[in-house]
Amino acid sequence: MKFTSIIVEDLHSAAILLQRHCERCGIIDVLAHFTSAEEALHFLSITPVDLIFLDVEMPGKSGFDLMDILQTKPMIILTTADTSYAYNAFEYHVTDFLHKPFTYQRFLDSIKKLDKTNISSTSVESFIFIKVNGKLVKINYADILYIESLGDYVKFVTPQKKYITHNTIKNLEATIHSTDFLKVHRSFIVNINAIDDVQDNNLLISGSFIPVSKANKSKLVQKLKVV
Amino acid sequence: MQTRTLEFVYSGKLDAGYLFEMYQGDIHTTLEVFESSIYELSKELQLAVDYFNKRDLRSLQFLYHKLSPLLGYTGLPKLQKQVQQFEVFCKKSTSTADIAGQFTYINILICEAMVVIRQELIRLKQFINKNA
Repeated sequence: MKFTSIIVEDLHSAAILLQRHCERCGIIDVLAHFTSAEEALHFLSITPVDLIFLDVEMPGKSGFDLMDILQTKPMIILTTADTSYAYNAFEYHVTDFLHKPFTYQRFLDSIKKLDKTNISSTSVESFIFIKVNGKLVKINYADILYIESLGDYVKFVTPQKKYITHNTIKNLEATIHSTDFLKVHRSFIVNINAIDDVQDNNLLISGSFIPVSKANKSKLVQKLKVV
Repeated sequence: MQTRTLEFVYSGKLDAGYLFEMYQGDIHTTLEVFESSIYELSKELQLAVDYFNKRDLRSLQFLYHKLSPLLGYTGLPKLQKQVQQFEVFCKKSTSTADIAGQFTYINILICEAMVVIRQELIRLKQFINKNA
């Protein structure tokens, strides 16, 4: 089980290194990076997470402002270049306080403090919300047959309906945390469970032929567990 | 992503031990963060001049607060401390006139550091290409 997290950090270099630390440690999934508290709040209103790596001083709302606004608080690890915030940080009952820049060992020490009982049920995602015609529509992962790129938009195809929303395949590839999905082509992500058959460089899902690129074919074969 | 640990020898102008503790020898992440840091340093320095000309001391203080860790990420922790001291100096000052001398001095130091970082970036890229 991994902790789902987001990084709220206006310094890009700091966010890159933190993300790499998370990848290296193997128990933190970074779902997204935001450069402002406002963007993070919007995301959190739709997608709860277990942990936030939170910078304190950012343009607009500060990290403390964000914690004041959050109604359900995930675990928080504050990241700041200013040690004078340490007292305030512990008033907010944060899990830890990392002074930038920090070493990988210091990061690991911080991760050890995370409470595994706080992992939310959303760690095992089973659905996604997409924006369609001004409203948020819930789609269960199990219902998605495939997702097709339409330039700046994507089409979610389910047995009952097709939904078009403003997004990209690249973004969805990073957002959907389910082992049932695989990008088989630059324009297609498919639900492995929905595949009817595979022939040459195409696969068939509910009567639709989906192209499989050379680069992704071996990944597909691995996923399908061909015997 | 596969992480390869290569033995890169840092320039003597950078704190190699500090960099190793931070990147654990992951040369690709080091390159990525160095590239990002030099971009952010250039951007912030230009902004610093704008804020100084507008006599916006509060924004200047915030800017140096934001900028200081970048020097740590690029193996210059001593300069990072100097920038942090300058940030405190900005906080205690009441007008940009009070900080003018220090402002010029710290920016010269940062510009000199950027030359070192750019040189190290070239060496990092050469090393990665050679060992690819």
